[in-house]
Amino acid sequence: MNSPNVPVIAVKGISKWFGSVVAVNDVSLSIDPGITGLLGPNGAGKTTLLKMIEGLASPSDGTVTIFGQTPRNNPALHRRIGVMSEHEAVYGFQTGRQFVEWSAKLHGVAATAEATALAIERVGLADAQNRPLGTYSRGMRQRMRLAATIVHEPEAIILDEPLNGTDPRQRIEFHDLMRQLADEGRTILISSHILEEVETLADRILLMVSGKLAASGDYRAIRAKLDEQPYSVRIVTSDSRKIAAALVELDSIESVSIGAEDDVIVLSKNVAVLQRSLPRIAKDRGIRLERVEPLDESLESVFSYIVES
Amino acid sequence: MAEIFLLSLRQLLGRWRLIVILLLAALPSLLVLLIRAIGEGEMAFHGEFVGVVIDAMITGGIMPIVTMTLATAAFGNELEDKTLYFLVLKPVSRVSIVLAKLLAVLVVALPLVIASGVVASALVNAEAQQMGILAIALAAGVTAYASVFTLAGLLTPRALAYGLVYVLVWEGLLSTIVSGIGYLSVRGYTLALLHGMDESSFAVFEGRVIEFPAAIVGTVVVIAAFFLLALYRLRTMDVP
Amino acid sequence: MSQAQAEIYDLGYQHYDGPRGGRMQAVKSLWVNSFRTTIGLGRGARAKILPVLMSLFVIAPPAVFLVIAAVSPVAAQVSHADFYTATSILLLLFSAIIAPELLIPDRRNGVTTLYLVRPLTAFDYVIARWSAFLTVALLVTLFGQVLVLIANSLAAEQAREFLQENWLDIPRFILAGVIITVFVTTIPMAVAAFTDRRAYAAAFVIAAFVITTPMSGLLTTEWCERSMTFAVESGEIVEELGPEECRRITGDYAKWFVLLDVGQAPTHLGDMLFDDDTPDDASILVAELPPAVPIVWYGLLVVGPGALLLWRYRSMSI
Repeated sequence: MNSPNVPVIAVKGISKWFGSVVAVNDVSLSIDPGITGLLGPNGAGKTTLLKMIEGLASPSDGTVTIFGQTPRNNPALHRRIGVMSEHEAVYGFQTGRQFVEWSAKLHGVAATAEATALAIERVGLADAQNRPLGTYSRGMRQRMRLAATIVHEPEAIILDEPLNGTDPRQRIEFHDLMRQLADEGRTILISSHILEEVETLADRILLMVSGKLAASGDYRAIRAKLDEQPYSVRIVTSDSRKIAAALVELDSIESVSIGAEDDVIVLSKNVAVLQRSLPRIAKDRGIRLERVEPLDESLESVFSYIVES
Repeated sequence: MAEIFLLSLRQLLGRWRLIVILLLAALPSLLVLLIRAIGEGEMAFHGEFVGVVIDAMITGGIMPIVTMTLATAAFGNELEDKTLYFLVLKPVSRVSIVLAKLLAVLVVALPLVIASGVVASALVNAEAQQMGILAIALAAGVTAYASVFTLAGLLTPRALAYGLVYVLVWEGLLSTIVSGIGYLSVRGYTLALLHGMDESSFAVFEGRVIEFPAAIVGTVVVIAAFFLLALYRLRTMDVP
Repeated sequence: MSQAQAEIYDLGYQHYDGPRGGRMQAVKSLWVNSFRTTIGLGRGARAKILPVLMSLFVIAPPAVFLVIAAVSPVAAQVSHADFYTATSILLLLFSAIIAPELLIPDRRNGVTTLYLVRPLTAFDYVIARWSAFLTVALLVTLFGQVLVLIANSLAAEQAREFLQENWLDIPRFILAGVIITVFVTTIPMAVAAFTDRRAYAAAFVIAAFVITTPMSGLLTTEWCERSMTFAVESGEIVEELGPEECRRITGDYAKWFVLLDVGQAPTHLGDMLFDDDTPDDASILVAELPPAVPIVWYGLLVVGPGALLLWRYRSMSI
């Protein structure tokens, strides 16, 4: 199959912009067999990134390969990939079984009927398979779309928000199915904006914020790392030099520099200490604070948003 | 490819839509029957019949509207419903996808439009050769419109609206004022093909149509060029 | 059983304490929204292309007349009735494409319900949408007619005299404008109530109007013949042509078949309003009918679809 050192999905310096809006900004990552969760708030660029990986959209810059091949306009590669998009639309006139069978045929599956039956069995929808998709509930439609995604036994599976519209019981079944598929050696990439959906499932998490890859790894490890991460804060005052000199004396400050617009850029390990000391320092020395703003995309707040929702 | 073709066919054949299109295609024959029943004097395959039924009704109305409605829907509905990714993420070449869509449009539009003209012609006792020529020219026109508007459906969700403006304003109103428009008009090609193949039966188009060879080249170029453009568009577009 | 304790806290969200408008206020807001949607305001540049293009089509011909009348000392007069005949197809195209925009997206996106949980009834909703589109169509048409009026007075030898003599044309073309715009607004909207795709609504309306014109034309064609008599005069055969005899292909029915050209139904009423010096074939035939007929026919074509539109929205399960 694949040589062990080449990742299944390799993304190098990929960007995507629409006019002046940057949706994905210089993202590099590699994904190996197992389950990877792509997390980030709505609008972080997850779907755009996935579309470029799937070959639905061209990157403005950078490259993507799956199994060493570029996915854009590469129909043959799609035999090995299964994709479930964020859109819940289906061809309403097809029955569930027709839909899965249609996908199987187009994917060149030899034993179509058997593969279809197996895939529908796996998502637990055998009872409803002969009803038109237009009559399905949201959760059922999601599961039937999942069946169509895995009917050709793809080696790589990419699922964009697959758990939208499913209830807690279906979620558990989904987890079991994903685990099985991963144990069969497949590479699975699941996007979500809710950590809870993937925390127990994913072996690894990629965290996207504002179009950039903000963190990767086990989510507990990410949490721990966050505390050690220095924050940069921009301060505009009536006297930059004076406040810089005062701040350097604080323990938690890593560095202080004066920016181009005579503003002060502070790199601090402990943002709480800075928060408490800054007003005091300013007051003691008679410096007026005009602006205090964090320079980083607030990874902290994003992460807590994801963890708590 | 057969799967995409059959799916596309199923998409185009909504029950109500088919009934309306069938009714539209039957109008020329119904009109001829009505004139037969109450009219004074026989209709024949020349003059008024060619000018009104063949030109104004069929090439100026039924052929473009039926073909455009189906062709813009071929990809337009997939884009509007956001189902196009189902097709492009299958191990199927882009050529097959465009071809399957175009064929589905033609399989519905060709028989309807050709029958619309040929049956009405048979009712006014047209000769077999005249009906054959009519069928060929209509087939060329339908295929050209289908090719143009399959691409249009991939470009904009308002494709049919722009198509109607093109047919009514460009081919309908402006072509009667500005003579050169015949070179850039599918309807112009169709009329020129009819006239080029049988100058006496279609004498009413004399002086209004472009040269026969230009019409042949124009039709072929339009069909091929717009097919390739649709293919190019499908390869380069970001699929929603 | 002990009383369970519960309390609802004020989360501190700001409440709306201002005045609340009633049903008329809601209709007015919807009207304004519909008006803006029609001309593409508050939407992307692409949404503006068609409204602008279509308005230009309708206004371009009289604008050209105006320019000719302004620069050339001897310019022809253009009748207000001819303007309606010439632009009715463009106006129809405009309505067929844009009017469905006001009804179909709401249903497709499932937001019609959101309107109807306001103090709006289905009737109010339809009327607000309908009247807003009517207003836009009327403004475009009347603007064209004003251009025609200015062009005509410039073309006349004495503009002031011309206006004094022809001022009655102003109420006439306003009334004719209302007649034609009510027509082109009601029919596409009624069709739009029955399909979920804007494109199909437009295609259906255009097809109905484009196909019926040549049909009506053929059914009312005049066939002319000359009888030929042969006489033998001093040993030679002399052909003698009789007077030309013309008759309609459908004989006495012809005047009824003019009505089949549904797109011209409002222009027949327009012809009754204006004194037309050079009536066209269809106008001559319509004039043979009792005057009530074109009026009733127009009424049916407006009231029928209008009733269907209202019925559809009242009975819609949303």
